[in-house]
Amino acid sequence: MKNSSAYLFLTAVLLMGFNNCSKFEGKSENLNDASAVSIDPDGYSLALQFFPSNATDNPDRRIWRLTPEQIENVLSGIITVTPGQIVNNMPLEGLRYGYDGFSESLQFFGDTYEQYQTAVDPIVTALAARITTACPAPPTSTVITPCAAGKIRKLTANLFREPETSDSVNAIVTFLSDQLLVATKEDLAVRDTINVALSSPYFLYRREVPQDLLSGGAVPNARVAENLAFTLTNSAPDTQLLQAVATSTEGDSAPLLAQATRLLNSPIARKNLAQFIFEWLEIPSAAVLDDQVAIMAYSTAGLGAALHKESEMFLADLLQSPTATLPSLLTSTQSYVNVTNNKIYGIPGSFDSDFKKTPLDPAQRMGILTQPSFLASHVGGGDMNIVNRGKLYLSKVLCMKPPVLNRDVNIKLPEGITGSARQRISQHVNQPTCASCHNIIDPLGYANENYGSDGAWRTVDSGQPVDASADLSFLEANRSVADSVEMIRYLNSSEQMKQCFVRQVFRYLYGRLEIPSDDPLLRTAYFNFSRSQGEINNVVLDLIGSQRFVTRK
Amino acid sequence: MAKIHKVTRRELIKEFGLIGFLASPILRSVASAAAPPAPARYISIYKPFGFMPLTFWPKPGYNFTGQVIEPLNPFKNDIRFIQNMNMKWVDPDGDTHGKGMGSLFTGTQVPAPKSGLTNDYDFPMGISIDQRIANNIQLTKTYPFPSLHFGVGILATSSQPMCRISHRGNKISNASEENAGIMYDKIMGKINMVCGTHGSPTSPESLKRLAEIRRGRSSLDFSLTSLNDFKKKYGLVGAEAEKLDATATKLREVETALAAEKTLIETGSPTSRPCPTGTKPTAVYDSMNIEDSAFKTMIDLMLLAFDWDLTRVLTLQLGVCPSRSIYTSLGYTRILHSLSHLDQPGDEARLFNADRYIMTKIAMLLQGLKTMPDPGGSNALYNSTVFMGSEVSQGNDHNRHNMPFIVAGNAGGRLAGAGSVVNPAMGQTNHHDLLLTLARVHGISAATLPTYGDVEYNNGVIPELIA
Repeated sequence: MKNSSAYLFLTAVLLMGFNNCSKFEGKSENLNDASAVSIDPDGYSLALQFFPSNATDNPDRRIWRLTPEQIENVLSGIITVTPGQIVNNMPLEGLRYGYDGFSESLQFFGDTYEQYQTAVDPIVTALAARITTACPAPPTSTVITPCAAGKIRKLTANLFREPETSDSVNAIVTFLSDQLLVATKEDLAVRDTINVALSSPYFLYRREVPQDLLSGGAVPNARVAENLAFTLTNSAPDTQLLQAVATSTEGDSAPLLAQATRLLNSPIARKNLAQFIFEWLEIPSAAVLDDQVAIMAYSTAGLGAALHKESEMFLADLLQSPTATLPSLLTSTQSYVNVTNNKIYGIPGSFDSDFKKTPLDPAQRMGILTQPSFLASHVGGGDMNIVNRGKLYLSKVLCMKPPVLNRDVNIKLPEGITGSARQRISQHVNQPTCASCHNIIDPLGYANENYGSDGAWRTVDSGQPVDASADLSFLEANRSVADSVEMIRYLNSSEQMKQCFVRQVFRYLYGRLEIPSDDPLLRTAYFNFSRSQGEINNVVLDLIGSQRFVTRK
Repeated sequence: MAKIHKVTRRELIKEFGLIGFLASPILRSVASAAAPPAPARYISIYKPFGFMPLTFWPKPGYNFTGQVIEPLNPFKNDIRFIQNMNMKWVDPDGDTHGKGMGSLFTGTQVPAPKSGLTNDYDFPMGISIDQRIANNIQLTKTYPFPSLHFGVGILATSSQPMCRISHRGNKISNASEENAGIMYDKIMGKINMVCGTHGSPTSPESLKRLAEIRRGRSSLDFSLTSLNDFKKKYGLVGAEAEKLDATATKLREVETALAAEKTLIETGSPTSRPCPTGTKPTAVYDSMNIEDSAFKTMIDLMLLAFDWDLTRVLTLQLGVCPSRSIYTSLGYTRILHSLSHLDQPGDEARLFNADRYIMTKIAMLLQGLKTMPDPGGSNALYNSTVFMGSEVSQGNDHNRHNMPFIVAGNAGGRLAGAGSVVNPAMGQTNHHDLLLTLARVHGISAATLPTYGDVEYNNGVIPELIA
C-alpha cells in the first residue's frame, strides 16, 4: 500500500471478504505469511526478525476499567456534566510505560473508589432529579411507578452498554423495587438505584470476555462495539455503531470494520490519536509541562503551556488528514508559533497571542521530536538532559531497553569535572560499569545537545561549543550523525523505529504490553505500515480490525 | 523575626474559630473526662522539599532563634529533632520526590519503573507508620474513623500512587483530601450523631441516620452481590478478579463502619456535649495557589476530629511529588519547588521565609493539641506523636542524608528525648529505625513487627527515644 487509493482498495477488498468471517476478522489476517513473502521477501524477513513468534494462543480474558475521561464522556452523553467533574476529582492510578490507560493499572484501590463516588455524587443527584421530576410518585406509594421503573431501565441499559432486557439491567430494576421498601420514598429509592448503577462493574468496566467461557474464542459483538468505541473515541458506542451491531448478522463483521473506519475519521478519534502521541513521547499535561519548564528552564509561567499548545495544534493539523504518516510527524518543518513560544524560536517578525502556522529553520527543527514541548519534557537539569532524552529515545522511539542497573553502580558523577554537559557526562563512558548502558543512552541524548532545557536552540553550553554529533554504531555499523535533525532523518528511514511505532500504537490501543502470540498481528501490521509509508490510520485499523482484538481465552 | 506568643484560650477561640470553641475544656464532656487514659494519638506530616540544613537545625544550646524552626520555640520542650537519619532504597531510577514520598512513611521502596523511564509510578511496597499504628489501635477499640487524611496543596488529580503518604499495603492508599467541605461533612456527620440530645436513640437525628444506614447497607449488600456475580459470570480469576476485590474490600469496610454506627446509635451515645455551632467551610482551595486560610481550616478540622475522639490517627500532607504550591500569602508567584532549587538570586531568603511560614502552621497544630486537655491533667500533645518529615533532605540537591525529621509530643510518656537533638549513638542511621521506634512506642511489639520496611536497612529501635 503505497498511497491512500491503494489503501482504500485493499479496505474495499477486505470488506467484501468479511461476509464469511466468523467474527470481526480484520485485514491483517488476510495478509498471511506466504502472501507477504511473495509481495516483499526482504520486508517480510525484517518483520520476522522484529516479531518472530508464531504462538497462537489467545490473550486472557480481562476487564478494563474506564478511565476518568471515559466515565465523564459517557455521563456527558446522558446528562449535562460540569467539564472536569470526574476527570479533575479522581486521582491518577499510575502510568505503565508512559500510558495512563493500561488495563492492569486501571482499578479502584479503596481510596480511589471513594473519590470516584464523591466525584459522581452530583451526577447521581442530577439524574435522580430528572427521573423524579418526570415521574412524580405519591408520597406514600408502596410500589415503584412504571414511569420511574422504565426510565431506570433505559438509563441502566445505556450505562451498562447492555440490552434493556439483560440480566444485569433487570437486577437493577429489581433493586429499585426492593429499595423502596427500605427507603420508603420513591425519590430516595431512585437515587440509591442510580448510585448502585454508577458503582456497578457493568458500568465501570469494559469486559473482554469470550462468549464461551469454557473454550474461549470470540468476544460478543456488543462488547466488540464497546471496545471499538472506547478505544477510538474514549466514549461509549454511538447510535450508528449500536445500530450496526444490532442489525448485523452474527458472524458478519464487515459493518464493524466500516464503523471503525468511520469512527477513526471523527474529530474525537483524531484528538485521541493526538493524545497517543503525547503519551508515547511522554509529554505531560500542559499544567505539568508549564511547571517543569518554569523549574528546569528558569522561565516564567505560561511558557510550558504555550509549548504544549503548539504541539496540540501541530498534531490537530497533521492528523486531520486520514493519510497522515509517521514521516510527516517526524519531518515537518512547520509548526505553530505565537508571541509566547516565539521566545524559544526567536523567529523575526511580529507575533501576538494567536498561534499561526509558521515555517521553521529546517536546519534546526524537524517534526515533533524537535518541538520544544518534547525536548522540555525530558530534562533533569544539566547533565541529566542528555540521559533523560537518551532514555526516552531508547525505550519509546526505538523500543530498546538498557540492561537493568546493577545496584552496586555508583551513579554519582565524578567530582570536579568542568566543561559542557556532554564533556561532563562523557565521564560515564570512561567507567566500565557505566559504559554498558550509557554507550547506547548518551549518544541519543548528545544529538539533542543543540537544545537547552526549554527546547531553545543553542550553540554554546557552559562556555563550550555544543557538539551534537553522535555515534549510533550500536544501531548500525559505522553510523554517526551530526545533530538531531540528521538523527531524525536517519530514524525516519529506519525499520527499527517503524516497528517500535507499531508496538507503541498497539500498547495504546490494547492497553497492555504485547505478548509473544501478538507477534503474527504485529508482524503483518508492521509489514503493512512500512509498505504504506507509515500511514498512521493504516496501522490503527490493522491493529483493531483484527481477530486479536476480539478473541480471548 | 517575630516570635509566636503563647495564646490565651480566649485568643484561641478568636484565632481558631471553630476549633478554639470546640477545644474549650468547659465544653468538653464530663463523660470523656472521666474515661480511662486512651491510647496515644499519632500524626504524620509531610512537608515537601526538606530544608536548607543551615537554617533548619537548632543552633548550639538548642537555640531556635533565627532559624526556620523559630515558630516552634514555645514547644521546644515538647519536640525533638532526630539527627543523622538517612533514607535508603535500592533502585535509583525514578522521580526523586516521588520515591522519597513513597519511602518516607513506609520504609519501603517504590518498585522500579517497568519501562526504565521515570514516570511509571506505582505504590510503595509497604504499610505506612500511620496505618501500622491505626491498625494496632483498632485492635482494642473501634473509632469512627481508623484514620483521617488531610491535605493542603496536594492536587489530588496529579497525585501518583507513590506520592501519597498513607499506605495500607496491597496497593491500597489513603488519599489525602484538600476539600475542607468534604472533611467537614465527614467529621460533623459523626459528631452530629452524638452531640447534644442527638445521642438519644429516639432523637430525630438518630432516627434519620438509622434510616440512612438502612438504605446504605441495602445498597452495599446489592453492590457486593453484584461484584461477586460479575466475577462469576465472566469467569474472572487472578489479577482480573483482584481488580474487583479491592472495591469489595472497600465496600465491606463501609459496611462494617455502618454496622458499628448503627450499634452506637441504638445503644445511645455516652455524651451530652453540646453540638458545635461552627459552619461548613465553603472555600474551595486552589491546589496551586495556597491561601493562608487553607492551613488553618485543615488544622481546625484535624483538631476537631481529635477533640471528639473520632480517630486517633491523622495525616497532613502539604504537597505532592513534586509540589506545585505557591505560597501566595507570602506574596510569592513562583512555585515552592522552584524556590527549593534555589534557581534565582534571592531564592535562599524566599525559601527561608516559606519554610518558616510552614513552621508557623505546625506551631498552630501543636498549640491546638497542647491546649486540648486530656484525662489526668495532661494534654493531647503530650499524648500524641507528631512526626514531620520530607522526601528529600534539601531541595536543591535532592539528597537523602541527615533528613530533617522532627518528632513532637510524648506518646503519653512513652516517647523520650523531648527538648533535644537526638543523635542515635548505637548505629541507628536509617529512617527505618525511626519508624520502628515510633511503632514500638505505640505499642506494636517486636514479636508483631521485628523490623520496619526494607529489612536490610534496619538497625533496630533508637533507645534514646524510648522512655
